[in-house]
Amino acid sequence: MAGKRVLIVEDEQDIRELYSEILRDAGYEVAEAWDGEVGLKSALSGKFDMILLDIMLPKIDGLHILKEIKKKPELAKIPVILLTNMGADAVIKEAFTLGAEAYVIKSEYTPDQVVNEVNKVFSAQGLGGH
Amino acid sequence: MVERVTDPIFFRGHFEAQHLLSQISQTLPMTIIIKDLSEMILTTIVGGVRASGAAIILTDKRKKIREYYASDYLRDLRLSDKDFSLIYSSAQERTLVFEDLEDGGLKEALHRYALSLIFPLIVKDALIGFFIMSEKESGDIYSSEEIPVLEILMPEIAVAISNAQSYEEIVKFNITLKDEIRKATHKLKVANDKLKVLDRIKDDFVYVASHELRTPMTSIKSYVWMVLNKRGGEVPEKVHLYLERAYRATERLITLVNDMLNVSRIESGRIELVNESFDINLLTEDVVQEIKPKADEKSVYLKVEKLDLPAVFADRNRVKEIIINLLGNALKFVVTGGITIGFKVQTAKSKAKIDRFVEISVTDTGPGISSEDQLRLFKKFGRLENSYVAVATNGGTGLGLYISKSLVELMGGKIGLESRIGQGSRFWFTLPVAGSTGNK
Repeated sequence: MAGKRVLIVEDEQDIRELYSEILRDAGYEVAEAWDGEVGLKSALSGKFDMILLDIMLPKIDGLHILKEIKKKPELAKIPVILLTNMGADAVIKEAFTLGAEAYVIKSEYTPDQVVNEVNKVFSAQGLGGH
Repeated sequence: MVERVTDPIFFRGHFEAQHLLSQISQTLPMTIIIKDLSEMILTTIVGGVRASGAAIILTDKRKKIREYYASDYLRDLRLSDKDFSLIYSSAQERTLVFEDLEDGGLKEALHRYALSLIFPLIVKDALIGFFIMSEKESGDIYSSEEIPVLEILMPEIAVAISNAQSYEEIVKFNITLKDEIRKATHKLKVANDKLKVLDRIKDDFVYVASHELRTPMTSIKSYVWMVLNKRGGEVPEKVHLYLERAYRATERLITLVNDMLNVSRIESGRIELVNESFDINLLTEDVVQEIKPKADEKSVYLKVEKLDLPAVFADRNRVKEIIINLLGNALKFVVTGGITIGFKVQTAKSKAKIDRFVEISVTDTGPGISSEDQLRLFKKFGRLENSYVAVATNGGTGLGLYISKSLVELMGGKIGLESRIGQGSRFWFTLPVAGSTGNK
């Protein structure tokens, strides 16, 4: 997994920096985006191997970003993990319909469990012949 | 004009009593509307005895004129209060015949209004009014044949009018009642709409508040986790203990928020179950794997009985939550001994269908639950009505069993327990077997 590039789109500074830190410690290259606009721009740059995406964001919401990513054929394969505190059934359903790889409710996860989730998605990608 | 002249000639002395009696008998049942009935009676009688006019006076309890129906000559009759009370007191028990009256005030009064006959209308000993008649068209006096026939008719007329009055009252009452019901229904609707709005506000509040609460709690939980896991360097034992307690409290707070969110979702109908057919044995295994470390920590055994089971039809994740909830509760209370998960297949026969259910039970060797506490277990916050006793004991949120019950019921099953103080508890819930009635 080492060297894989991960983009975190998260407006809460505390949480963004904490996830950055533990992912870096786990060997990932991490970039941060603090609102939906920066997030969408970065995501569309195609420089990342995975995107961790919050849903409630300033300017542009996460589900919209997810939609935009999945629209571009060259980006559609990039795994997206939604990292949010929204837990409504309807939202979770929509996220998976739009092509999310995993859905993490932040308050339910310890930092190492978030890293595990990222590892797991990358492993699954590897098995899939990515 | 011809009629006026010929009538007295042809009809004088040819009063046909039989004809009048039969005509009235036919008239009375024709309508129950008091106005129509009075009109018909008056027309029939005026025609039958060739009267110049007749009227029905209905009185009230104060002996005043309540209603007045008249035909022909008596249409415009205006009786003064004084004259009417004179008539009332004289005629309330007997027929007055103008010609038979002695000279005096009464006779003068009748003369003033050209009234010849006054009959009391009596129903079951109660006076309801009078039937009055003016002179005959011919100017003759009423004959000794006519008056007795009219007297025979009066009780029948009185009963018919009294019935019509009752009917009118019922109709009025019905209208009032309908109106009252309409008003009350409207009030209820308004109140209900208000409640709906309030309910919506409550749901939205819980929903938004819960979500907003999760964000800072994620920060607290994650950073405390970082310290406890020595991401910031070595942690003195005491600090570790303190932070561990803070961490546990945060977890409890998160659970509470989750439970409140679940309750809000369930109660507002925003919950979406994803029912599918799955193997309950496998799911139980998963849960047991998760819970095992905690049981080991307490030196409490965790046994699962093996049984070949049909697939159930339910929401896998919700069922997992329910089993975790029941195991978690048991684990909280068991000190020595342990927990056994058992299964049973039930067949419920009802009317024309046979439903099959799998019963999942969690039996513990805990202290048992008093029958009084059993009543409150499945209520929100474990609360009995009007009681604030024993809210969320032992670190629980008081919502777990309420949520489990709601979820089980949404999936078409039932939940319950058997327990006695000192003999442990057995919690159970049922799920429909896949392919059973109501699912496929």
